[in-house]
Amino acid sequence: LEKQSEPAMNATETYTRWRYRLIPDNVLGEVLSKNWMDNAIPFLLMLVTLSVFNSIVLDFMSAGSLSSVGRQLGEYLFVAFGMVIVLKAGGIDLSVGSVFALCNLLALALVNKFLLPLIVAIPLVIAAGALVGLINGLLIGYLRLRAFLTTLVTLIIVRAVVDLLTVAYGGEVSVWTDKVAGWDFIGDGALMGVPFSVVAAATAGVLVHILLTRMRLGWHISAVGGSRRSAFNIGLPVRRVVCFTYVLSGACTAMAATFQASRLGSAGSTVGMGLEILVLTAAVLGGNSLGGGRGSAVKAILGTATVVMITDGLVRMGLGSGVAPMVLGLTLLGAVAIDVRWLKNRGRVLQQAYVSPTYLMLPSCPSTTAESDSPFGLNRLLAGAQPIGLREVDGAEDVLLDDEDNLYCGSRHGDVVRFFGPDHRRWEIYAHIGGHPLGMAWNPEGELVTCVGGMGLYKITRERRVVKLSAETKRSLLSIIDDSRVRLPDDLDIAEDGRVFFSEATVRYDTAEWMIDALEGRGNGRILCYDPKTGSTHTVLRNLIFPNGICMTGDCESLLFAQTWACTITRYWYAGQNRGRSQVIIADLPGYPDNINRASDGNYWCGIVGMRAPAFDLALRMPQFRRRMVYRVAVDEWLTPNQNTGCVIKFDLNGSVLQTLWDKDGHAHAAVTSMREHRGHLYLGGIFNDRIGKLPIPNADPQWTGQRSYWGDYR
Amino acid sequence: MKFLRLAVAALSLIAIATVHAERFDDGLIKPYQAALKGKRIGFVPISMTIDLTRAWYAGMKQEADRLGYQLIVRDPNWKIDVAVQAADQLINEKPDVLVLHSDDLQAFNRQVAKAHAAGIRVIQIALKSPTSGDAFIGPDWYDVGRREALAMVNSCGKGSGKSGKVAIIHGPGVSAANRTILPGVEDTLAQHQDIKVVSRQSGDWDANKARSIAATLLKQNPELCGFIGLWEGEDIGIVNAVRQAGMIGKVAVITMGGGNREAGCNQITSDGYTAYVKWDVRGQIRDLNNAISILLQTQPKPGSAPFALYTPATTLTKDNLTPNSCWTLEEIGKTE
Repeated sequence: LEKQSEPAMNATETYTRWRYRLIPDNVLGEVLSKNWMDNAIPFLLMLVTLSVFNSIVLDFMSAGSLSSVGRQLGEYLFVAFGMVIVLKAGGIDLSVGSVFALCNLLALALVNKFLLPLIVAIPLVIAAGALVGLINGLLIGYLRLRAFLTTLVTLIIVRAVVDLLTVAYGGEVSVWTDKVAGWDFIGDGALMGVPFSVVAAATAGVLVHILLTRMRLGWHISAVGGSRRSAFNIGLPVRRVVCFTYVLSGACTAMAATFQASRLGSAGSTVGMGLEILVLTAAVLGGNSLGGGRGSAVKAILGTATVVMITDGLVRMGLGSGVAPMVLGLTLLGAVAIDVRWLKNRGRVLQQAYVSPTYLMLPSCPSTTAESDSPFGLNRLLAGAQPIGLREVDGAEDVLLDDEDNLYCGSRHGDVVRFFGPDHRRWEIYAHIGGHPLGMAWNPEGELVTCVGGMGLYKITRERRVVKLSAETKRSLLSIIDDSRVRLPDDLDIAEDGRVFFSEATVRYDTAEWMIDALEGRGNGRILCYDPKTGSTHTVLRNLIFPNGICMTGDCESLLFAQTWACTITRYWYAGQNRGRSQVIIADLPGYPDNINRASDGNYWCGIVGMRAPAFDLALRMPQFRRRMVYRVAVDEWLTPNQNTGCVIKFDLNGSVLQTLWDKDGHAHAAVTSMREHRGHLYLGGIFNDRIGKLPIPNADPQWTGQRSYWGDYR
Repeated sequence: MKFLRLAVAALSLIAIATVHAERFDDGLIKPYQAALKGKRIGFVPISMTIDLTRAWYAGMKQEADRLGYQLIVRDPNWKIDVAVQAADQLINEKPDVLVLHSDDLQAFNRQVAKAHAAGIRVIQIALKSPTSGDAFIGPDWYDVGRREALAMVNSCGKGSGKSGKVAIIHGPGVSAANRTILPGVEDTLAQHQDIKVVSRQSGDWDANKARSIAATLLKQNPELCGFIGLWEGEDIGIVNAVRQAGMIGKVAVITMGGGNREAGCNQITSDGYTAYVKWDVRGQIRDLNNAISILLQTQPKPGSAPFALYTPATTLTKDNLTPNSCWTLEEIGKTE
């Protein structure tokens, strides 16, 4: 490449630069990707419903009004909880209306006719509801019948039973009696002004929440509903779990029926009629998915509150017969449509909204032509490197050597691999960590410390025990995403006092999506410091553009780091007179810098992952263009920075580039993410390369090792 | 100019005097008007889909408009829990009078007491709960049942030369009406040994259900002489079954109702109903409006002095039918 002319900035671009500096576009995507967003939409819907009816209906929110709506809400909530549990396991329970009527009749009979004390009557009613649920559960869970049809049939059969019983006993049990202590309180009592059914439903809500989120059964329900086959394959008792959800639903419905029996004392034939539609509408409106896997007590509450407000409000508006059911039906239809569309497109919408490019202008790219006098002139020096572990290594992002000449590197399989010196032909798994080890360094105790992608900062003791050092830091005050958890630590180095400085490339993306961070061009990364003396971690520098390549200069007060997408190398003073100062020592690299390590002559090596390209450089100045690209083009077609024309440069602390080693053809070492000098040789690592390279360095100190350079002859 | 000014002043004085002219006060008209003006009446019917409730509403609305009070209707559309909810909400809104109409015996028990506690007077129309409100307007159901039974004795009893086998298709067990009419029917029939009840089934106030029950009974009992139904809204189904079986005129159908022309008289004319015990809705509307008026004027302590205005019942047959026996909604809704 010829050296480009200095890019000019016009007024529009100045505006763009300020607009992206001042407006944090990333906030929207981060808010949308929050888990509680699933509840925010139903919550908003509830507020809208509330304010609409509040403006139309007189006294909609008065205390008396709330209290009487509350009683009904409490009853419906019980049914809704049962329905949500069934829905979450991937089923549906249409029989709730009939079970409700049956239990209502039974409760009236037990209390009004047989005068049983509540402590006997209520468990009997719940047992009856659970029994119908058990029949549903056996048919659906164990005999594998379709939930929809089965519960539809139970709906009809149980309703027929209720009709027969009502004809025979309806009049007899529908009598006004207060002979059983406490019966009146259930339907008409209040605790500190709150209707008893609401208190009971709130308690039940807490229990359901604990069940679904904190208990084994709840997780099993979620797993079965999320993917029945996977749940079966990992050995969950799918049939039992499914069966049990219907039992719970039956019991919950029975509880609701008990409340209504006490409140109305009515054994009429319309009791529980259409309840299934009402509760289904409530469940779906609250954001519980009909497809299973998604559901919570909070969603049930939000949905039920909305539906109760709608039905109550419509009656109070004095609209004619049939309007309320029609509105309810249309609401269900709308909610189901949204549910289906949202589930289908959620991931894509979130991903698109999450990527938020910003303005970044790189300085002009230095020339890399062989003929020019640029220090970056192309050559083939790396191609001659002798391969180690050819076609055996996979993901050697960093390489590290000990004083016995053993070579260590990470692998994508979650291992640290050791090649035995001095010839590095044989290898073994040094330790299994479970995540991809990226940057590595020796600590003063001779233990290998490594940044593990997606996991945090770990060390491997000399007994090969894996120890977690740090995986979290203090959360930033105004961050929307939780940046306390370390997501993508990529390189580290250890200061003379044992403190570990490590970089986190980005707080916005996981390891697998690190390339998407390049599209944003925002300073999403940071440098953290772990202090082994206190075991604590704190954030040292924020808003860095993919920081990487931490390297101690050896002066006990400063370190070097690279910002990959910004193509810069910076020196940062963490102690001494200049403490807190940052100085960019190279501002215009022709490619994307990665790890930085010491050279035997007192200078520094830096690996370059890929070369800058004019198209991508230009795209970085056009955030709207990149945004459109994200929305309109499939992920595989997105523009990405070049990742396969790597090189190694040597530079000094003044920022002068002393030497450049290229693999012009890119066959052996396409992208260089790391390199280490050891006893006169340079060892080359690359995250996508199929080998580690070993290259003799002319005139290098043949005794120099990195470990000794840091810690001397510690043994 | 001076004269003109004087004339204008005099004219305007006369005008003001005319506007403010006091009407003749008989001692009650003013408190009467004041007692009704601006008051709020709440109405919770079973459903606004039936002719009875629509007629009552139309009648009450006319009077409300005439005398300047407000009528608020909340339609639960047959659902008991919604009805209770609606009544509860109305109680919260504190109307002056609450008009309740529920076929469910127990459901409104608590609401009547609650309304009284809140200082609201309650009128129960057609069907009353065990707890009495301040006024009840409706038929004496026992007498209605007795009349139906007597009509059946007339059609199928000793003198008729028929089998005397009859079927009763009643309403649901929890229905307030059902529980009072049915004893009236049964007690009376018990005094007539020539009538034998071969079947008692619930049509659940549903015409379709009544139709299928009647159709089955007609096949099972070829000698069946007649049906006693307890509400015209349900019993039109019996008539249809009889008509389909080609037995119109041969099998007697006795029913009762509020006297809607389409549902009642027209069915008598076309031989559908042999006898129709009518409790006239027009009379009930007058009673209803009067009860509202009385409660608002006298302001009794809620629940302290309950009174009833039982609607007289008449037995209509083809023989005593007159053009004025029945009514239509249009006639009731017609102002003047």
